[in-house]
Parts: sequence; C-alpha cells; structure tokens
Amino acid sequence: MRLVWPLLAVALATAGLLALTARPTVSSPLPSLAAPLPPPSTPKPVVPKPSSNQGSDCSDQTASLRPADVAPMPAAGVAAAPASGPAGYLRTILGRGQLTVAVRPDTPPFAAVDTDTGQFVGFEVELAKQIARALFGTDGHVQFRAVSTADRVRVVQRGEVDMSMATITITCDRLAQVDFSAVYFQASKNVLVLRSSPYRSLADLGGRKVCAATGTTSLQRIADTPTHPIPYQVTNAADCLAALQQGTVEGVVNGDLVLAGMAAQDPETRIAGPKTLDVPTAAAISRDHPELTAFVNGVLARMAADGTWTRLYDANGLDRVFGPAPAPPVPHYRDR
Amino acid sequence: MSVRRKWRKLGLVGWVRRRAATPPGRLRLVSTGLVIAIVVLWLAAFVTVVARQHAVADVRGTAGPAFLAAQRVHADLSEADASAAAAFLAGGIEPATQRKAYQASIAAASAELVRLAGDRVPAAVQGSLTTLASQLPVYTGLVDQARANNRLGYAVGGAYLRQASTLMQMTVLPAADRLAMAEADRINEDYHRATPWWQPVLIVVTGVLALGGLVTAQVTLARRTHRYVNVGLVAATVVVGVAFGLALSALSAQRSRLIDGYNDGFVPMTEVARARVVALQAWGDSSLSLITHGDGAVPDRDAARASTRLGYDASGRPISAGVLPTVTRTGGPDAATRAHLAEYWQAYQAIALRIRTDATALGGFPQAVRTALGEGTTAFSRFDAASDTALTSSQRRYDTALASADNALRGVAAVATVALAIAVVGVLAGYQTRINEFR
Repeated sequence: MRLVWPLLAVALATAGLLALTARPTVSSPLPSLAAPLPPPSTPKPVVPKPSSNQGSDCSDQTASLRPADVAPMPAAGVAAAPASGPAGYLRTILGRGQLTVAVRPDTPPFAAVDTDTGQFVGFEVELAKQIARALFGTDGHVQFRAVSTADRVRVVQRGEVDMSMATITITCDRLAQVDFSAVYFQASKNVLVLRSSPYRSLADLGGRKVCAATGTTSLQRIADTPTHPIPYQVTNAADCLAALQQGTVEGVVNGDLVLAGMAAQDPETRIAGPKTLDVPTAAAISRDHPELTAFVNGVLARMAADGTWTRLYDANGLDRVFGPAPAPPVPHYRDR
Repeated sequence: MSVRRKWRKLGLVGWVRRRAATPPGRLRLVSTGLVIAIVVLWLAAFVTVVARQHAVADVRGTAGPAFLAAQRVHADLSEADASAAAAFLAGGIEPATQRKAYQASIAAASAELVRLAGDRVPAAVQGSLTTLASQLPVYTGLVDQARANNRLGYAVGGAYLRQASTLMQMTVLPAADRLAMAEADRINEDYHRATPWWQPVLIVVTGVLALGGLVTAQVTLARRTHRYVNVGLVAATVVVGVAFGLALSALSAQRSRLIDGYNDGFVPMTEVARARVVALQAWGDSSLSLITHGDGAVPDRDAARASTRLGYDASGRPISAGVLPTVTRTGGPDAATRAHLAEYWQAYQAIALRIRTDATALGGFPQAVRTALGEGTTAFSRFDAASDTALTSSQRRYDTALASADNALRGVAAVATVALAIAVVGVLAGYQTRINEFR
C-alpha cells in the first residue's frame, strides 16, 4: 500500500512532463499553391468526314454584285449632302477617315508583316490600298489588322472591320455568312512536297501524313481525297512547313497562294499538283453593306482593265512564284 | 503463469529471491535497477538525438539541395523560354540583352543538371532527369532554327519557336517539376524522421522512471539508515535531471526550428518560385501570341491559366485564391522582400492587357510590339528581379533554420552519455558506501 503514493507521483509527473514536451510529428508538405499547374486540356482534333456532295446549294459562288461608279468620293462636304453622293455605308467609312481591312500576317507574297518595319506588305495589302485610294482620293486611309485563319470571316460578320482580304476561298458555307467581292485571284489547291520526292499531286500521298491547319478547306480536301492521305492537324498554317522540314509529314495542303509563301522560305520544296484554278479568292464583306461590295468590285474591274492588277502581281513577286502574270480573273456579276 | 514458470526454470526469480534475502543483496538489487533505468534513459536519448541529427542532415545535405537544384533548373529553363520568345519578337536582329539572358539561363540550367545527375536522385524520377538531359539540346536546336529563319524574315521561324516552347512547357518543365516534387517528398519524409512524436514521450517516460527511482531509492534509504544525504545518489539525481532536461529542450528547440524553417523558409520559397515560373510562362505566352500575329488563341488561353494561379483573372482583377496575394500577405521575417510582388505583377499585367488589345486593334500591331519590347519587358524585369530577391532571401532563411535545427542537437548525445555515465558511477558509489557498512 505504501507503494501507491510514489507510483501516483511518478504517473502524475510523467503526465505533466508529457503535456509540456510531447509534440506531434512535423510534416513539410509542398504548399498547394506551389504545385505545378495542371496541363492544359487540349481538345482532340476532329478529323473531318469526306463531304458527300460539294457546292450543292449555290450554283455560281463567284457571282458578285455589279460594280457601281468608282470615281473618288469627295471627302469634304459628305455630311452636307446626305441625299446625293456616296451611298450609306461608304459615307460612314469616309466620315471615319479609314477603310479597315483584315489581312493575314503570315502569307507572303499575299500579305505578311515586314520583320524590320512591322508594316504589312504584299499583293492583298496593295489591292486594299488601291481600293482605299479610289474611295478617299488620296493614300494613307487604310488600316490593317492581323487575323488568323479561324477569325478572318468572323471579323467581317461582327463588323470589326470593313472587309477581310485574307486568302479567303469562296465556299457555300461562307456565302451564307458574308458577301464576297469579285474574284481577285484564282488559286489552285495544291500540295507542297520536298523537291526530291516523287509526288505529283495530293492523290499520290495516299497513306502518307499530310499537314493542314484545323478548320480549313484544305483539311476537308485531305479527307475528300480517295487515296486517303493521313491528315496531320496543326493550329497555325505556318507550323505545316516546319513539320515538312522535320520530316513529320510528307506534304502540306493549301491553296497555291499560301504554299507559294512557304516554298519561298525553303528552296528544297516545290508545289505539286495541277493548276486547276478552282479556288476562287475574294474579299469578304458584310452582307449589310452591298454598296461597299459594289464599290470594291468597281475598283477591281478598273484595276484589271488599266493594268494595275498585273503591275501589282509583278511588283509583289507573284510572277517569280507562279510564272508570268495571267490575265486577271474574269468577274461574274449578279444584280442583287 | 507459464511465463513465471519459464523464469523460474531460468533461475532468475530464484536468483533475485536469494539476493533479496539479505540487506546488502537487496541494496545491490536496487542499485542494479537504478543503473538499468539510467541506461535505458541514455539509450532513448542517444538513439533519438542521433536519428534526428541524421534526418536533419539528410534535409540539409541531400533532399534540400536537390530540391533547390530542381527548382533552379525549372526557373532557369522558364527564363530561357520566355527570353527566347522576347528576343524573337524583336525581329531579325535580337537585342543582345535578351540573347545573353537566354544563353546564361541555358548554361545555368545545364550546370545544375550535371550537379543533379551527380547526386543520387530517387530512382522513380531517374527518367525525368533523363528527359531533361535529352530534351534540352533538342529545345536549343529548335530555338536556333527559329532564330535562323527569323533572321531571313521567314514566317516558319515562328513555327519553330512555337514548337520549341511547346516542348519546353509540355515535356521539359514537367520533368523538372516531377524531379522537384520527388525531392519535396523526400524532404517531407526527412521531416517526419526528424520529429517523431513518440521520441520525446519515450524520453519522458524513461526519464521520469529513472528520476522517480532515484528519488524513491533515496527516500527509502534515508528511512532505513537515517543518513539523509547520500552524495553519490544526490549527484546522480542532479546529473540525470540535467541530462533529461537538456535532451528534452534540445528536441523541442530542434523541432521548433524545423517548423520555422518550413513556415518562414520553405513555404514562401516554394510559393514565390512557383509564382515566378508561372509569371515567366505568361510573359513567354504574351510574346508567342504577338509572334503568331493574331493567331494567338492558344498562348492567350495559356497566359490566362497562368494568371489564374497567380491570383488574377484574364482582365487583371484579383480573384479569391492565388499565389501572389498569398505570398504578399504571408508575414514572417522576410515579408518585406515579398511586399511588392503583387503590385509589380499587376503593373505588368496591365501592360500585357494593353498589348493584347493593341495587337488585335486596327493598325495597333506595331505599337503592341513596341510596347512589349519596351514597357512590357521593363515591367516584367522589375517583377522578375523582385521575385528573385524574395526567393533568395527565403532560401537563405530556410538554410539558416535547418542549420540551427542541426545545431540544437549538436553535442547533446555526447553530453547525455557523459552525464549518464557519471550518474551510473554516482549510483554505484552511493550504494557501495551503504553496502560496505554491512561488513
């Protein structure tokens, strides 16, 4: 019995000391905010199905509005003469002092950014400048904006720019969204291959990897080819050239106007395929502004007639890529 | 009962009984018991202190430096990627400063990689080290191909740069992250090994038993012999008490310094490091977006993701959780070095937003590039320099805390050994004088 008290004291002392000194084990976890970012979710690219029947519902895609009078508009006094003079939307442009045009920054010789000056240069850029000059009577009234392939039709639909001259192919789907000017360049869907390769057209690349940007008519063209080339999708069309140079793909499908820009960057490549001239290229303009479409068509017709089109063709080096300038595309018109 | 029978068979119980039959035998038995209690206490303290010293040394010498190296590789490579994009954006002839920054970052990352390869990284992430070592040359090759094409004014240069950046962000940097995470896990394990909860409990229990035994023995002895002070036993009690207190306070100091190292060093260090690489990612994205001239949906989305982690939505408004507001709020001894990070980032992000708006605006593209190369780079450099300072100071804080945790345990094992040996001598001597009285 005498043992109880010392034992109790020891137990109490132990408990007291434990309460004072015992501490839980320490962890050193990585804070959640310092953990790596989760990888981005990349949507799986959709491979388009072969289209069943092309161009079923629009008989003449290339017919555009009959041109109007293209005499330079008097910039001054526009507001004073509301009834006569230029029609509605043209007056808006004149009032604003700028014609706004979306172009692609990466499709030389049609449109590109000069790496030294940061200015847009190319055939489409020059055409746009001519249209602005016809409208304002003087130079320097055009503003360019760079667009991607995905956005080039949408920016016109949304009214962000007056028109889009961005190597746009006229298709039935796009005609439902925007109006097109008369054709200013007839391109061909071709394939860019290595100079040393035996391929003569896209059909020869059956079972081979062929590159095109997501959501383009070029990708659809690969899906429609009966020999079944394997589509390789990229985000930017320019990535296709890198893929070709690295041997990831054996061909790049695009309009020859885009392929020309790529071929100019690599002397070991060539454009293969027949000159089908089945890719009508035109400016996209909002369906709300038929007067602008008519005006643009007028300027295009005049440039074709007075040799400006041919001069710009040569000045921008298109002759070096496609050979001597052909006759300008013959416009088709409709009245409304 | 069977146990007792076994003991009886061994003769231990009989031996104890025989000893206990005479008074000197009883005294010898008690002194043996006290010696055993002291030795057990010594064992508990010694093993605990040595194990904890080893664990702290592992954090300081192996996992910690490897973690820092992996983190530095990540930061250097992020810096290289963003600098390459900024240099590309400037056009055919890139600014010398950006090019130098790129080269310095690649060189630093390569040097760290060599060092990491020399250390033993955990086997599970050996593959990540291989990825880093094998993909880094591929990356620099792509960047140089991009440069060469850009010099000629070829748009395909941008494609190569995008490819390089994708390789960096999707393959190389995640490998560095895996490496850092594995080392962080090792640090966590070492922390566990350095602070098991049961070690102080064991020392308290064995210590109280030894002290209690000593006190009880003295009280009993005093009652029996009426000699109130036994010098040997008193000395043993004092020495055991001192060793006991010393061991407990050393463990407590070591633990609290490890906690300080975690709270004031590790947490801000890792958070600032993440903020920095995420910000570098956003800056690189901004350049890539401009390089694609309007096709920047992919880098813009990526920049928005980075911005969310930093604590701001795509338009620069603060959101509830994010690393920058958190590190700016975090107190601690180095709070001043982190105080301006959020503010600097917001200043940069405002410029980045303007650049993005300008780039898609009519005729605004050249202005956007000018802004990006001028103001944008200046603002980002300010953030980058500030985060580097904050990172360095919290790294130093962490290192200091680990060193002082190590110091807290230094010599404790030796002191405890000497003290408890003295205590054993004291107990034996103290009892011997009583036993001698029976002769």
